[in-house]
Amino acid sequence: MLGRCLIRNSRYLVRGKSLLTHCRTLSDKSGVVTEPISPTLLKKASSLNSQLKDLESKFSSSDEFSYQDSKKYSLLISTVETYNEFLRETENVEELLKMLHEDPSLKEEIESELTQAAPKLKRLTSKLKTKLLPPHEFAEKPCILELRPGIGGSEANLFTEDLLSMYEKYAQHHRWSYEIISRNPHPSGNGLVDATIVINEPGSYNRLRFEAGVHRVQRVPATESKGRTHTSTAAVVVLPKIEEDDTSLNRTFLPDDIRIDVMRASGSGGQHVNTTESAVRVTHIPSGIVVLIQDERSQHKNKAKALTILKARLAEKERVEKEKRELAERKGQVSSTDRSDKIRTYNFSQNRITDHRCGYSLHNVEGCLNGYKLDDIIDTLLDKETEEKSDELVKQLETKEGV
Amino acid sequence: MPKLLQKPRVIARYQRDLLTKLLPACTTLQQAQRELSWIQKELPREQWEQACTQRGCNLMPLQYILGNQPFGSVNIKCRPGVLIPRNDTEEWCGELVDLFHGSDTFSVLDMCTGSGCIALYVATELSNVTVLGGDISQDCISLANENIDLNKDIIKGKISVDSMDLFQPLAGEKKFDVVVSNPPYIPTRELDKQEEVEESVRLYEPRLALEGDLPVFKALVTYHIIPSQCKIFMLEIGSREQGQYTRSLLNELWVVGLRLDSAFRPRNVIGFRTDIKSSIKRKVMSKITELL
Repeated sequence: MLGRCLIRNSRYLVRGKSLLTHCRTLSDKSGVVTEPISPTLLKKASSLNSQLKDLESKFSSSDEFSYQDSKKYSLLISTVETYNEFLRETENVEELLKMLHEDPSLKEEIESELTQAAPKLKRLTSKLKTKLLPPHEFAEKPCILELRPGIGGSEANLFTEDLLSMYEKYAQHHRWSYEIISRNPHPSGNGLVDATIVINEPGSYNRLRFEAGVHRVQRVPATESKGRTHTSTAAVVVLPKIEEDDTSLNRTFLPDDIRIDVMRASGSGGQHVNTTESAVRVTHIPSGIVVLIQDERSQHKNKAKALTILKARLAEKERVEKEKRELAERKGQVSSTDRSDKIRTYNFSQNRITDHRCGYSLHNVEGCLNGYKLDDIIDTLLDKETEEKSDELVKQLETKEGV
Repeated sequence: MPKLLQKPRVIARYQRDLLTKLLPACTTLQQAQRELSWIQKELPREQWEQACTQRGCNLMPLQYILGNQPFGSVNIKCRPGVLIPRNDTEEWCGELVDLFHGSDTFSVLDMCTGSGCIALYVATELSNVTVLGGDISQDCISLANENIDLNKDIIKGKISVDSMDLFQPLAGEKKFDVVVSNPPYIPTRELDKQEEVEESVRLYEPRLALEGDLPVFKALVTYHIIPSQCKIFMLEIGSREQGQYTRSLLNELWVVGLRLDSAFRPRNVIGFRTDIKSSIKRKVMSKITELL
């Protein structure tokens, strides 16, 4: 197994031999499984080391300590630490393998140690890769999820409600604070017409961003008398929540760009009526985005919520446009985790959830809809994305170096 | 909770019964669903059924049932005997405080303060202000004081309330920079007509806070606006005629105009003296949609 991985590594070795003394080809039948890591990435990691030293000397020589610098420092130091740990562990594995060659009498002990070291190395490799990749623009943000039924009639309304409860339970499972800021039940009382949930945990966007897209359900609805399986869908939109004190992303609107409408009773208004209607509709004229919020009794709060959602939608829209532009520049492929069409199927009769972006199937529908198994899918997606992004980064770095 | 009440079918029927009770008081099913969710959020379970009956069958205002109404960022306690703050009023209060952000310290008289909502809105949004709320009803004075206490953590300016009669001259030659008011302005002939005034308003809200017409505006101008030597006033009105009448009571030193609300109905009469600072003059003019 190790042999297979190291052969993949050895492809890189031809080019970067001097860099990679710790990745020598070792053909051995021990149980070590490591993900290959490209020498270009490793080179980048070692260059960070010198950057860190520069920054450290800057700190010791001057009294000035800007916020940007300290942020950069904390980011660098965590990456470099992971890198050093990775080097130590690689060395360790290498040493063990060498001993295995030289002294076959210790075979059993070494192998038992290797089985412990291997998963650790694997974890470190993927951690290092993630750290070397540029983080998602909104990775540190809390998030807003918007849910809407798709095709499938009242069954889609019901499924939307199930999804909402899945995200609620997911937040509860992680002990994250959340708030349902809008929830419109279908007039029949079954299912939802739309819903919006805010998860206030910083960084929740980074995990839940994979939820964006169309979710498909295949099951026998409660209302179906002949036992036929129906297919319906619900759409999820994931937005970053922009905090009031976020200087780079929070925005103020020009009065001409925005129009705020409030619900008004017909007739004379004023003292003549004591209506409880408090709906607020915010229209952003340049982008045409319309947000209607009517869940709170307070018009003031409805307006604040509508503006929060508007800001989030605009930020997401700008990010998507930026990404598209960059993609066009690179002429790269659309990575499979970005695809926003049908992303996942929940098949109840087979007790199976398949995520079409990574091909991963989870055989526990209930566990997923109860929130505690959703992380399995998200982890697989994150790994897949790391893989794709690091491949891309390697390509970029290599073209830059003219290799 | 009894085990029976946890079964989905039972819950659904229970919710439907409550909704049916609420419906007569609401214009749409969606609004009834929202009112039910507010009742269930703010009241304990044992009161839900009675609250829905009170609201739907007896047409009691939801604000009296729940005992409060949000007004801007202020939470206003409500109870029978005192007028419920209206969202039309909330709207113009927002525009009123816009005028005075960053200006010098000034004083405001809020005549017919009722629950104290306008006075509290101004005092929570602005720190450079001293507000006096006046009302003839003792119920109002005590409720307004409770509301000041309830919101004391977010009040930035100075605020007090006092017993005052709209139809009596201002006592002690007090001076104010600004006079605001939401006085009773529904003429008697309208107040008794079902098609003019909502049933729940006629049944539950105090006549004292609703019934009035031109004499009210005459009293405001002659006893409060002119003697207090104020520079700006902003009064809520129910008809264009009330605005025009107010104009006729003031001389040419005053610029007077109407402000329309978001449903394009005449909602305020606004006036300012021509000798105020031009920066504030421009701001006030921007709130006036039609000069009188």
